[in-house]
Amino acid sequence: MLSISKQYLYLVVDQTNKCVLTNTSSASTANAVSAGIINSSPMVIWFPYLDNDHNIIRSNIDENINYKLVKQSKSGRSLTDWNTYDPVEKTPSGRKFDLIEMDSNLIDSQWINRRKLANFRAQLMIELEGICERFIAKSVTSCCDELLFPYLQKQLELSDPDKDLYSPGLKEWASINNLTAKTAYQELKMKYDSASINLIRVHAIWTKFVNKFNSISLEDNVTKQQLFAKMETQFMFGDV
Amino acid sequence: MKSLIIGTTFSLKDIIGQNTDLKIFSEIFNLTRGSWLVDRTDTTQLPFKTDLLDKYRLPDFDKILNLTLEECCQNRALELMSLDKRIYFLYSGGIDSTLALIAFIKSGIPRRNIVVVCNDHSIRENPNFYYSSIRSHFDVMATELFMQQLKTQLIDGIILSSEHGDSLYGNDYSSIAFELLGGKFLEKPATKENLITFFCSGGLSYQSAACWLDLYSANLKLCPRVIETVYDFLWWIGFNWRWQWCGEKMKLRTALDPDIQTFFSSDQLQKWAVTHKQIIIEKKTDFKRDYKQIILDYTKDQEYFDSKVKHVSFSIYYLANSYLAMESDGTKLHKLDYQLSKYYQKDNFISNWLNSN
Repeated sequence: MLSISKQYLYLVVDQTNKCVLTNTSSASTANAVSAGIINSSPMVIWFPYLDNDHNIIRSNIDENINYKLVKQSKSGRSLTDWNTYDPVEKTPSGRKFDLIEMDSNLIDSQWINRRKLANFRAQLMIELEGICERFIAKSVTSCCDELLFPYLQKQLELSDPDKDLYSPGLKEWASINNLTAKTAYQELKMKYDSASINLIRVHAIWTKFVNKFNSISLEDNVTKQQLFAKMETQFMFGDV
Repeated sequence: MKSLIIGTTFSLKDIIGQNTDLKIFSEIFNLTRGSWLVDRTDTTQLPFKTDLLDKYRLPDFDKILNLTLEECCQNRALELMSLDKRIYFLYSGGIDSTLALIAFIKSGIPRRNIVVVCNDHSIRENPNFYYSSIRSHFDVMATELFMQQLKTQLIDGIILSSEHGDSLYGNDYSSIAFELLGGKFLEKPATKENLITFFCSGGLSYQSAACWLDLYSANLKLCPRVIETVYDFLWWIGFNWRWQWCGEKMKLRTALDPDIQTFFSSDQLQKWAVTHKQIIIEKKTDFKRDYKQIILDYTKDQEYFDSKVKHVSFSIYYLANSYLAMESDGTKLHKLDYQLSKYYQKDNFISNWLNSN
């Protein structure tokens, strides 16, 4: 809510060689792709890529562009996320994390296939998340929803319209809007229920399709178009 | 052979195969996605056996009073109020549901007798009306919560939607024709050439267009409205063929058999649809101007009258794993139980048309 966009890269890294399988648009999509590829990890790094000379974004459509993730670390220090990067004394850019070209000896057909699968799945997850966010956006009622909703839930639960009892927060909201507490209760409950139910539905569809996409391999020869053909229908009617 | 009341066509493309009648049948859905077409005159059968429910037969229009739209709406509101049941009114904020709610307000419905089922989207559709006439005046409930409860719980009262408002006015198909060919086209005479042009513009092949034109024309002699223009013809096919679908489709959202009614289905309102003078549609905002005039008279909201455009309500708010069909005995079918091919009848209008053309 109050966060600004940061220059993060959302990577999926191969744990065995610390090379980048793919990069996505968010932590959730990186996690989703990683969940479907054995021996991979999601990794978020701050990386102002406009200052750097590399093609990490293009590598999503070109499996011949390959990078390894490195981290500048002093020897002997214990490392977190150790399975996602190689520690080096100094990175080329001098920043904590950097991408270096992958050792060409490691690039074989097995690696390229692994990259292709990761890139294909990343595209699917990014598109799926885009659709989910399009529907979530319809439920956003104000800039403070994320902080408000847990408190609002409590205020609604503390109220009892049958006994004409209303919580302090609800009474204050009513007063500011020149409404009775009963009207305020009904309107806020309506908005809360509406947004919450929409969100749980979107989350259910997200979960379902992440699992579905992660069960598809390149050999299945399924196109993105085929996979998304019934997506809108899912949001309207459920599983048909 | 079992028959349907309503069905859905999600699996249609899987069973078309070499059946030319099904191919022609499928092409109409380029124009009207999602509808299950049923002939209210009960004289024409499509490829999938479907029964017409008695309540959806065309009424005897000679026996129905000819009233203004406002009178018809008032009478419908009073009729529903006289049932003395709580009404759960599905309010999208669109033109039809606003008009219907105004009819209840003008009829003096007590607050305890109606719950306005809406959400934030309904408010955005017509904020002035929400803040002036709903908030503080009616109990409200989230659409999503209501639909979730409707799925498995018996609702104590009438569930009232504003379905049939489109079919009554004739904009099921005419708004599509307006988008494809412009307003002037709607005023053209209902000739074969003009109607084929419409169907072909909507993505039908010439053969399908010719077949559907003959199919839709087969019962024209039973049409209660004089068909002169393209608009008249398109009004008839919506009014005749989509009526049962509009009345029954909400039932696919629940496992039970609640009292679901539509506001715009009274005989008097149907009579109005048959007899009123159709205004000329020059721009999108002209659709439903008769409806909007009553809203304007009540709200004095000139901007809404001048600018509001009719559009389809979002249905994500209704999301639930719907049933896909309902058979004549009331059995509702989920995806796994619904085999569209089971209802296929070789002897249907389209296959007979193919044999004779």
